Amino acid sequence: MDATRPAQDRPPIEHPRIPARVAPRRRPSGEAPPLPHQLGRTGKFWLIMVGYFVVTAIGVLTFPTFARLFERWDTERLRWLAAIRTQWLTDTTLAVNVIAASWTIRLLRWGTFAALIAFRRWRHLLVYLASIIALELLTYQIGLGIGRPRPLGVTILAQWTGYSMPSQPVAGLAVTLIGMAYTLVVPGKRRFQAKWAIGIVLAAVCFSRMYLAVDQPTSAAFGAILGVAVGLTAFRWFTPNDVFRVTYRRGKAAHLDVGGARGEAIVRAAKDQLGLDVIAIKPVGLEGSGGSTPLRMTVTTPDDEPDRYVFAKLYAKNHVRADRWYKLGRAILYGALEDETPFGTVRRFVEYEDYTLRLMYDEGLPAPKPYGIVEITPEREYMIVMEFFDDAVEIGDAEVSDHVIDEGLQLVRRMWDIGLAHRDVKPANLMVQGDELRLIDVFFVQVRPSPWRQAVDLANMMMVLALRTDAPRVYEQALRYFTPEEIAEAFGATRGVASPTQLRSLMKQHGVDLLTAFRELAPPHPPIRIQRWSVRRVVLTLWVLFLAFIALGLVASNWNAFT
Amino acid sequence: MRRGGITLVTVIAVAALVGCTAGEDGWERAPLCINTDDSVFVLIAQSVPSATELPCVSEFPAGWTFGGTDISSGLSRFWLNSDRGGIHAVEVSLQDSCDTAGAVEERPAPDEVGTRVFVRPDSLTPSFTGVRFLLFVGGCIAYTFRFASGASSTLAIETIEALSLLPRAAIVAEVRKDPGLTLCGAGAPACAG
Repeated sequence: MDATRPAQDRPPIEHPRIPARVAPRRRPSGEAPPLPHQLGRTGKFWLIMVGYFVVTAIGVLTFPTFARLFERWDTERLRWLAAIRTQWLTDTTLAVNVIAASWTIRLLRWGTFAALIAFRRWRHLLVYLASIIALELLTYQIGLGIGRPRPLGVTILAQWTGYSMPSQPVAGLAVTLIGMAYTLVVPGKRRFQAKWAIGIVLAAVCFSRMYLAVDQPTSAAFGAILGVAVGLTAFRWFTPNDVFRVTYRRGKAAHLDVGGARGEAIVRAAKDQLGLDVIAIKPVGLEGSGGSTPLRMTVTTPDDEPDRYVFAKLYAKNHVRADRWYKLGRAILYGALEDETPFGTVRRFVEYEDYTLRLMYDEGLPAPKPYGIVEITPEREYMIVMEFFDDAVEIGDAEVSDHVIDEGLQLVRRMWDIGLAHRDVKPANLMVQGDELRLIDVFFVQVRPSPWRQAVDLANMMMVLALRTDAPRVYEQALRYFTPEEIAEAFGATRGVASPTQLRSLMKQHGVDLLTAFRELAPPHPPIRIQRWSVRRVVLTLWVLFLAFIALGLVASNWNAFT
Repeated sequence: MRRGGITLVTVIAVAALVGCTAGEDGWERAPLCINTDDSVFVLIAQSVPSATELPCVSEFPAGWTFGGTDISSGLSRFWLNSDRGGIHAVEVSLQDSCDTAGAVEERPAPDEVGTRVFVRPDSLTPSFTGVRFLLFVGGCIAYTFRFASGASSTLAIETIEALSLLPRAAIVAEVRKDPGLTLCGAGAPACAG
């Protein structure tokens, strides 16, 4: 690094005072957090039912007397139903039983797959597929393990396949319908209605199969409970409503719903933990942020001062998971692009961003002033609160003066000097407030980064600045802080994926090839390779291929569930 | 490390599940003639209520293993694998009737007394294929041989000796004893409905 060209001294940045007006309150031991993590009432019900059936199954397998009692009880119920058999009721139940026929279930499944592909709900599609496979495996293995024959003592009136406990058609229908409700129906009133409809359909099918004596009451009930429980657990766990909302309007997937209970919890938590009196919450800049839910919160101020804004980012467990997958993908594809380990918990996630904010703030860089971390749900959801840059506009929409260009270049020089890299320099993260440049979203900041990382920061900054101006002008000003060799190195290091997607798409939109323009201005420099092979990368790649092979094996071995 | 361990355990569990499902023997039980209290015979009997005899395996000759079962209303099947005859070398099926066209009647083996036996060799080379039908009151059992190329047709004799018949009445009696209920169909009192 060239230490002969330090950044120019600049006046300290003025940050507004934290708008606290109430004393923070400590949550006493035993008091519920702002947004307690709760499994819904229906979730608890289904889990209890599954638990009941598991215990019963173990009892039946262990104690023959217990099994005998169940068999007789079931037979007695079926005899009652057999006693009310009439021709029209038999015809009706045979027709209802068609709903649980294998081809009906397959038709529903393939229709749902097609709809999910059309709506590009890939995560829902994967969870749907996985829940079907999981259920098929479970019912098959439980069926073999228990080995319960079809009903005894009553004439069977319909077709059947295999052992009866749990009822595979009922379980298959249940998971299929629950999957449809959770992937295609908008949450709220409509999904609630859909669940009732599913309940009615399952009850009708169970009754029909008992009437036809093709399933015992306990087998049909266990099938329905297992199918619903597997579906509910899978979708609630992997596609929670407030994160992966089924909607027929456009929007980013990673954003949390900040209305209702969560909105109330945010207000209460901000007041108790930071003393902020939040009176409004508005999601902002959703299109530029996929890793968190950015919020603009209106807070009251002491005395007669006008209300102020603060900026907040809400992080949940799914953001940690998304970050992990993102880093894994980049590590496999590019090797050298992501050189740090992923975060294990959401608490670590916000702690790191808070640390980088404070680091930037302490070093006098034009980043937002941190106000603190707010706990919404322990170990599940946290919110980081910071200064909001009033009247600031994204650099792509602002007038870029020589002063702004100067500030952008000085910013990179300063980060080089103190051993930092921003790693996400793009128009969405550079704001112009008045005629001052501001840097936001410091989550990707890395301490003591590789020289390649630092070089890429410079190239990206120069390209962002040249988007609204021109390359020669930015290059000339850059020479005040960087040597021609350093600039040449920056553009030797930068290509394709090294630049954020937004920057690349804006250059394409403006029809300018800034990379080539800067390379022509700078001295020649050989390209710096971004593909680096390491043992970790090879092992990771093999591991992912192995898992993919297992997943394909699961699909192949259960293919009859779909065709 | 902890997460890696969990992932590893998960993968092993999934692989084990795949193995159990994809594999042909998994938890599936062979219908062994001596295990008359095995629920697999109740299910086989339920698949063809009119059948007075049920197929079973008396013993596995050297090199033969159980393949799997597929039991549904109207048809029960199970199959055996052989180290010489190949995977799915013999399939045993039970139905209420069989099409014996082209088959030649022959004398039943000692454990097939009470049945009419028909055989229909379909090909001898390059691999042996053929069917042996056992017709009895209310049903028909077919042994379908599909040996791997080059396998000797004498393997069929081993199989015929290994397979046997179980009277439905024995299973009806078992069900009457435990759980004290009626196995509907031939040889049992009329069922409800």
